[in-house]
Amino acid sequence: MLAIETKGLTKYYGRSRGIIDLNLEVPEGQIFGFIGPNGAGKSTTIRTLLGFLQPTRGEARIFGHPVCGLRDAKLPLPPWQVRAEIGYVPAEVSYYDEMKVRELLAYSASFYPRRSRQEIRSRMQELAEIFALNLDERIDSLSHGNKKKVALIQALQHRPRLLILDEPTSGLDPLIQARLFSVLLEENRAGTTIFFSSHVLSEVQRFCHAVAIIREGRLLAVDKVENLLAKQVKRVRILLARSTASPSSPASSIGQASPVSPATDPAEAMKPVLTLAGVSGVEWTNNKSLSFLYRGDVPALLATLNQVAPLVADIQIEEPSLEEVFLSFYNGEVDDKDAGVEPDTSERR
Amino acid sequence: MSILLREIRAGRNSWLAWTVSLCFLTFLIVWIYPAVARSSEAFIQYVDSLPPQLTAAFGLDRISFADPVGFFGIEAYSLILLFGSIYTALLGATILVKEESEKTAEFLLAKPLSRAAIVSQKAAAVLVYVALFNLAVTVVSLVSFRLFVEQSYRIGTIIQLMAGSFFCTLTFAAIGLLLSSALRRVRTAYTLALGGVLATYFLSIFSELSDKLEWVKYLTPFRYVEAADIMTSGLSPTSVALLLGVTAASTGAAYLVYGRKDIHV
Repeated sequence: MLAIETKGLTKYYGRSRGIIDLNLEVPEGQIFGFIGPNGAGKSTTIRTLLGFLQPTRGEARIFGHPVCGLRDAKLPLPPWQVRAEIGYVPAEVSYYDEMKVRELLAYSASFYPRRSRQEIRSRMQELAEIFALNLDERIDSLSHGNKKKVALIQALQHRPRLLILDEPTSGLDPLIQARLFSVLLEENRAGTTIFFSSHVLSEVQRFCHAVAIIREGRLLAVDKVENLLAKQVKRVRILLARSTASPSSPASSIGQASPVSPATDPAEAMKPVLTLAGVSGVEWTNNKSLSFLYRGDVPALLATLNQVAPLVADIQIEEPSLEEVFLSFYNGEVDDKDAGVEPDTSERR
Repeated sequence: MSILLREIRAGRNSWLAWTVSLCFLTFLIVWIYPAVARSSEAFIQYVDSLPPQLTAAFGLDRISFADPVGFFGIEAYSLILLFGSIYTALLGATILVKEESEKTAEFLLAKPLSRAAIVSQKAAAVLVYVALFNLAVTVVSLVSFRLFVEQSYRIGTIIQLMAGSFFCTLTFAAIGLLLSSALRRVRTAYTLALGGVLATYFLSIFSELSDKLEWVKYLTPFRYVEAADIMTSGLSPTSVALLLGVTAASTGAAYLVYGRKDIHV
């Protein structure tokens, strides 16, 4: 079953873009990362799913129930009822200042009449201990990080089937972040679907099963994290042999007749590699080593590397960090077909 | 129900502040009445010396200071109406939009609640405070009369005046609620609500100053609950029906507008 499903979901604010034709499928039971820079449409997507915003067109379902975009249809379940299954943590947390944490959490619990009060309360106590939060403090005396903890507890305490977290770790110290992820993994093992947006790619890389990348309101790619990392891009690092190396050095004894001389300018000498299709993000360090992202055939890369073999002292080919993948998407360096990217040429606004 | 309860807790202090101030004023006005009545000759001469348009604007041509309820109607009731309307208009105008302004909408609207349920509970909280405000002022007025006024007076007229105040303040609260359902910022809501009440109040006074402005009076809720009218011919059922009609229409429109509103935080 799909926890979240959107079809052609589009939201314009007046004439300015929110999201455009978003087709998203989040299977139940996954931890799903949603990444993109500020203003890409992450929060717009989340707020449309929660019913804060009416989409301009398109539809969205949560656990199969339409939550918006079907104003005329007779709905089997009013859209707002689906929210009983959701826990939401907004990016910026703001609560009623005059309340104590305990009162706010009780207020939150009061909206879930079908859950046992007893269970919610014991879960609240448990989470407050995990996150080291004093329940008797007033909201207005809390730091940003502590307000975030309140947000996490109010989202988790009623044991939702779907957690929607908008940058859940921002403002939390590393210890609490680690505890949060252990709580989330535990929830996920119990079957909770987790949909979270983030800037911190390392956490997405570590915890998510799949990830969607959004840019300027459009979905660029949706894939398993391993696939995004593996099939798309490699990070290649080459340590150059010393330019004083003699032709009899081990590098040249590989046996291939090399067309390049090690004494020339390294950038010039490495030209066959640098001009190979699929190479991007070239970085030099002191003319002694270089690294670049490569996306394409591995044999083609090896063949080209072979041409410059005398210059190479050492080589590493590794999976890039998700951040590098992400940036390569943002720089528009990924072939549309390969990445399942929607064409970017169509009209904007 | 929990939103209603929360709003009742949240509105307690401002209710206390407005109610205590107006009750205190009412109490003082009724308290000084016997002294005014003793020197009423001089006072009536003073009133008579005022230009007729001005006396008409405050209903002084039809009610007398010599009558304790008349004095109450002119001195206390106009203050209760004006400040009560400001209080309830602000209450209504902030009740929905404050969740967006204070960014708590992301908490509340993520709960399994329909927009209509939110409007209903918040409107109910406003109704509770409008009723409590008018009830408290009514009780304090009656008690003050009992304590200080030795002449005979008609309790029924005081109650009718205060019923007029209830319907007038309720109308302003409902118009405020409609504003609140449409606006995005509390500050705008404050400005519009306060400006609206003051504008309609002065309209009700100026409309008496000139015959040319006669038609304008139908635009202001205050004209339907004028002290002079209620004291001479009782609270008019037509006026009450009209005010209730505006209240119902504004509340209904608030449901529609809020139901479709995009919530930006």
